[in-house]
Amino acid sequence: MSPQLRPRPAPHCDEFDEVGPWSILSIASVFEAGVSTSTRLGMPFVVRSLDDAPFDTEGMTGARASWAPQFWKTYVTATETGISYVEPCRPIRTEVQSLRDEIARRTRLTRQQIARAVGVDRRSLSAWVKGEATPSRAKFERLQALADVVRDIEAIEPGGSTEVLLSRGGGHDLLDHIAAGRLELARNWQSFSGAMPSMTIERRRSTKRPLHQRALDAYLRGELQPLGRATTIRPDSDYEQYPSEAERLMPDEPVRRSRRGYR
Amino acid sequence: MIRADEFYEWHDEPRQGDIVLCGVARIIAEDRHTPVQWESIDAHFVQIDDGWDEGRPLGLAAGIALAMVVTHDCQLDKEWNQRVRELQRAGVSLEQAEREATADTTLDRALGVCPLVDPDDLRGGRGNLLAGKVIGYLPVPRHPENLVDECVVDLTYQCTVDRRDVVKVASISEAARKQLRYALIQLDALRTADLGFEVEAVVGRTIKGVEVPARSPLEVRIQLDDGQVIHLIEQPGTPDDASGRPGGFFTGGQP
Repeated sequence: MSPQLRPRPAPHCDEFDEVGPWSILSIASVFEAGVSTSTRLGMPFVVRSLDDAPFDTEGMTGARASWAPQFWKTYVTATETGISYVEPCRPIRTEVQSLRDEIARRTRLTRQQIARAVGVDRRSLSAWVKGEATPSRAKFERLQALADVVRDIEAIEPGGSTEVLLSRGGGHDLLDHIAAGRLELARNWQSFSGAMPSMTIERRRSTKRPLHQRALDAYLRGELQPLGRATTIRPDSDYEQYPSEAERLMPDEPVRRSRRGYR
Repeated sequence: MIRADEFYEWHDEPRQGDIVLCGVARIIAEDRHTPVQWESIDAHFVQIDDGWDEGRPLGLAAGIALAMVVTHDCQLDKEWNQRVRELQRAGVSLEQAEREATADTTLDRALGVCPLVDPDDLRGGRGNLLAGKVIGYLPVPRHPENLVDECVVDLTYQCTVDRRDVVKVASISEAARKQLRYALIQLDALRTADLGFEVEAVVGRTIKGVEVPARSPLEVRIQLDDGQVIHLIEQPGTPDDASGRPGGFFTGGQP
């Protein structure tokens, strides 16, 4: 394992009691004590951020890693080894600011649009960053989901995330779907209909022989040619008009009370 | 209706009145209603699910059809002429300018067409339609080589197509083109657009141009295609009670 993966103990977290079965602090303490992580395969451990996750280490060879973000932690599991990676939670405001800035950096979304994806207004998002308010878990998950989608899009279509996020399908863009909590739909952005409007084509059978049939047959036999271009030099006056002449040249339409005589 | 031998007249160059084979399409509502006369044209319904945004679909009916070019000759090479003039202004010779403009395939791509339809599918009666008595429809006789059946041009269905996706089937005579223009004017512009045509009928020539000399506003000079010029002199009128002006050219002579 790379030396940079040397973990640190988890900072204080208000929701630490929700960590569940993992004894993060104790494991972190072990690492803080300088124990070689290479001996810790199969054990939960802590690193600072996802960038430090041991996806490429030799010790993970053969392991299939997956990760999922949660409100208060991000963990990585390697299914074959049983390794669990748990990122210690940071203060919420720091996490919100980090996500918001990352999204803004990777896209051309405004803060208003980022806030829309979370389902709040721009002032609320700002208040979270300043620590004046705390987002609910659901809203924080939306912000994380937006960041995930942005990273995913940028990895596949560099520079294309803004267009994808704002493309509309069924009257909604991806930001709307994230704001409505349809996070899976947003994560499947490639199949999102807004990226490419869906279209249906239905062929209609006519019982009549179409008027164009003979001409079409002749065309298919190569007997007809495309409309060519044989041009004529024309004076400028052919392409000029003088709307002011209209009143002089056009007779007033008589007011008719009936349409008699028209067919 | 003009007889076929007087109606059809082959011209190599694209012209107003050409009968072409092309795709036509029109925007349709969600119920996909198709008028009877267009049933054979509406071969495909295309629905773009979020065409209107807000979840409302945008639909169109499309198909291949015989159609008549309604775009005026001048419009068919308008951009080409503009490009030639631009190049000439830049110092390019006329010959070279024409060559360069002709090589530019982006010029004059769009033209307007109206599909041909079976008169039996229309209200108004086949006889009236083929006699050209119904506004909005131009009768077309059977093509000598049977490429076109006896039908009418449905001028109420106007569609813009790309000239590169158009196949020329036939072209028509000057007399037939005159009928087309008259029908177009009557449908879209003036129900009483008969003065010019009446003058042409009286003198037996085509009017090539009309001029009102700036120094002689009471005079109208009508230039005919054989070089003759007819001078119409408006008699000074009595000022109108309401406007204080004498009657105009078109209203002159009316009580």
